Formats: sequence, structure tokens, C-alpha cells
Amino acid sequence: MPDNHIVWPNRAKCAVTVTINLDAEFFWLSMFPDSIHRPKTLSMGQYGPNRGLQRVLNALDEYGITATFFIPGRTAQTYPEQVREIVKRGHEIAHHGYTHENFGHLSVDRQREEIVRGMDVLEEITGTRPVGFRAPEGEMTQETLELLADFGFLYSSSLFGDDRPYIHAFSGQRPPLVELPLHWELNDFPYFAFNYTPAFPAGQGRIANYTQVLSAWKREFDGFYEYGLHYVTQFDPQTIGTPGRIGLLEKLFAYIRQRDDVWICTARQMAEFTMRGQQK
Amino acid sequence: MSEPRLQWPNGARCAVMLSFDMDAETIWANGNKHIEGGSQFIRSLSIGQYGPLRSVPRILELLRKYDLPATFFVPAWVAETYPEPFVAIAKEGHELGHHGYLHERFVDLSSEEQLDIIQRSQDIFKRMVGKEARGFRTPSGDWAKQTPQLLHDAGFLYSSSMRGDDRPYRTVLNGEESDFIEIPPRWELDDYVQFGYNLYPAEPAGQDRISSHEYVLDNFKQEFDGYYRYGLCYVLMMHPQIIGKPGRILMLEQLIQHIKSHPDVWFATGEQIAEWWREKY
Repeated sequence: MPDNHIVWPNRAKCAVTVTINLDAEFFWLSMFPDSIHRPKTLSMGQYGPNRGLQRVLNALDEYGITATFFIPGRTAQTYPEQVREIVKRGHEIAHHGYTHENFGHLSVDRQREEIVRGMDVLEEITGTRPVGFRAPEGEMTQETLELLADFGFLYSSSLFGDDRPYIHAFSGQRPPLVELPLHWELNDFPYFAFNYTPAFPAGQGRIANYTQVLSAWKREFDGFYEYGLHYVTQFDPQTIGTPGRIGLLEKLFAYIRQRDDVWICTARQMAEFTMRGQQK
Repeated sequence: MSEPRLQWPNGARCAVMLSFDMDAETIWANGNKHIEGGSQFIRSLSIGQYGPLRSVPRILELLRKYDLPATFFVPAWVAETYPEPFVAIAKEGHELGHHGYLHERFVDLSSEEQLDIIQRSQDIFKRMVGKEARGFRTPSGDWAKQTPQLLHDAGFLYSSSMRGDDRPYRTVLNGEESDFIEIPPRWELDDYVQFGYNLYPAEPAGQDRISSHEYVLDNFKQEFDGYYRYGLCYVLMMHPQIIGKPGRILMLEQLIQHIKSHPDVWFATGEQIAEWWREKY
């Protein structure tokens, strides 16, 4: 089966989308509800909007990159100033659940409720209705995709099964939905997130070596570039925004910027591009 | 948009706090106590015993060589069990901080139990080195919601327990910023996270590989470079039983040399940093 080459805008060789998950403390609260009683555990998440975010925004500015921020509704309610700042600096805001809940464990009705709550909060705070959705860490179901299509979302960026965008087609009247797939190896959490109690990762693996992680991200970029694919990175300011790790992000951006035939786009731009191809 | 530059004494660019949690076998005893017969598991306990017996003298020698101050957080039981290294730390002019009596997890305790541990340990410090601790680091895991208020009321100047910042701040008590200062350490600057290991009982929980010295040194250096760039407060959180191994102490020396190759770094104890913050911010 041929690896069909995708023709990107302006004959770019590959595409890059930088996505940021602003989970704040809701990552910890959704995985470990008991951490509501654990100030230290919550403080790890609070570092994201309070410290890491500003550094991430500055790095994006410095390299002229417009990113897509996936934000749980509760984060937006808790940190409205930070969310407005992201909007002011020109980035896209997309849906990431309301309490960063695990959609795989929710009934269809509860999923619908959470999608609506998250959507309403983001619209109220940013003035724009989100068109993109990323399932919070955890799972999702086929119904999640159908609900997103019913609500008029343009894309999901939640699944892992490809390295280029594709279309979810549904039977009946339901409109299609673009999927912008992800990869764990292009995410900062698996390498860097850590806590003792509650244990994260579950087996309390070591924090990875910074130089080797940067090398992995660069090598994957080289591969996506070689094959002409869509490279979607996923960072959280609580993880990438430490004084030492922000340098990794800057180095990765500089590495990508060395090539001028890369289309750097937001998730929304990629979804619109993919949808247009479908309609041809 | 850049971060507002913090002010440090004598125009220093950033602050460095070298901190050592002298837990000895308390962490292992706590980890083993839910296993039948765990209190008699002398092999895992011996990992901890290495700290006060072998590592502390080596660490003190290194600090002397570079004329650096440090803060040692010591459970009072460890102080009683290893009086010689404990008193030696004080004699060399380093700071001794509170770290529970038996490295208890404060989030699991009532206020009364917490207060009892706080006061009992302070009495031991006073008896052994003539003064109480002014700083506190919560032993493994979280503290309870009421802990900072208890510490503040007990007269503590600061804590070094949370993870939410890379500079000190005034802890909010009863909705207001207090003069109880927090100097947060971070997991990525903790040697235990990288090197702590045992086969049975398992440490870490999933028995991951031991990190390489080279990779950890690289991480610690890159973080320092970031703290220096932004002018923050770099809190290295080490454990004598981990960092005091012959090869790792050389790694620590290389890290110190890297830090000292930068001009205008303020090496300070937690107490000095907290005093500065109280005064300035």
C-alpha cells in the first residue's frame, strides 16, 4: 500500500501544529479526586497557569508560532485572566472537557452535558465558540465523536491511529468530523510528569533526561518531514514551563524554523484544510 | 513580555539553596511497616543507614571545600539515633530544619497529632543543638490543609514543601498573605526521584531503572541555567543516602562547579532566603 504523499499549502514538505493543554490542577483532580485534600499535589498543576504559561507564550511569540490551546472549562473559570491573555496573543482556544473528566466513563447524556458546559464557559470567557475538541487523558467512546459532530465541532484531536489528518464519516445526516491524531512520544507528560503520592506515573518511573527528550522530538520531526506528514506536539505549561525545560521548547522551535518549507498551522486551520480536500 | 526580575542580596542574579533531607532509615521503615515483619527488614533499612554513617561526613567535607552553606532537614528520631553527624552539621554552621519525628505523612494526621510531632521534635532539637528549627519540610507526600497554620502558630519562619513555584512566596493563611514564607522545591531537582532504588519492597513503585549520573547532572545543570536566566530560587533537594555515594558526590561537585562558574550566585540557607523574602517582599 503506497504512503500517499499529501499536498500541503504552498507546497510545504510537512505540517506542524503546536498544541498546549492547560490542564492546571484539574489533571490531578480528575485522575486522583482525593487530591482535593492535597495542597502539594494541586500545587504542581497550579504551576502551569501561574508560571509556565507565560514562558510558553513568550517562546511562541519569539518563534512566530500560533498555537492551539486545549482548555478544560474549570481551568478557564479558575484562571480567566490567563485564558484571555492567550486569546489576546492570537492563539486558538479549543475544548478539553469541563473538569478534565474521563469521557470513557461517562454515559452519553453525561458526555453531552460536559461538552455543553465546557463550550459555554469557553465561549463566555473568550467570546468565541470552540470548534475543536481534545478528550482529556483517559478514554472516549464512539458516541463522543458523534456528539461533537452533532454540536457542530469541526475537529477532534484525541486519537492516536495515524500521523496525518483524516475524516470521521458518520452514517445518516450527521456532518463529518476531522481527526488530527496525536502521539504519546510528542507529548511532554510521559517524559517529565512526576509525583510520589498519588503515584504518577503509576509505576513511578524516572524523570527523563532533557537532552534525550529533545533529541526524540527532533528525530520524530525529521521523520514527519521526510514522509511529509502532520507533526502535532502536545505540551502542558506545568511540565514544559519550568526554567530548565522551556529551553527545550525553544530549541525545538528553532530546529523546526530552520526549514522554510514547513506549514505551521493551528489545529483549526488544519481541520479546515482537510475538510476542503474532502469536499473536492 | 519578560518576567519581572527578583532582587537578591548584593545584586546577586539568583539564589541557590542546597538542601539535604537526612531521612536515614525512617523512609524505609515507613515503607515497610505495612508488610508483615517489615520492622525487621534490615537490608532495606541499611540503605538508609548509609546516609548518616557514610554520606554526611562526605557532604560536610564538600561543603567545607567550597565554603557553602546548606540546610539539613532531619526527622528528630534520626537526630536522636545519630547524634554525632547531627551535631556536626550544626557545629559547621549549617542550618537544621524540621522534618517530622519519624518522617510522618502529615496529610494523614489530625491537628493534635501534627502538633505533638512538631513540639516533640523541637524539644529534641533544643536539647541537642541548643535551638529549635525555624524551617520545615513536609516529609514525603502532602501536608494537611491546616498544617501551614499550625507551623506559623508554632513560630516557624518558613517551609520548603510545596511544588507550585520557582521562587519563594508568602503563604496565604485565612485568605491573607502571611509572614510564613514558602521556598518551594521541585521534583525535577530531587535526587531521590532519579536514583532511589530497592528490589523488595519495591522502590520506586514500578521498579524503574536507576538513572545515569550523566543524565541527572545534565538535567540539574539545564534547570540551573534556566533559574539563572530568569533570576529565581534554585532549591536542590538531596538525600545523603542517595547523593553521598562516592560517584554521585563527585557528580554533585561537578554541579557545584558549574553553578560557581556563573557570577553573582547567592548560596544561602533556607533561613537566610526566608528572612530576605520577609524583609523584601
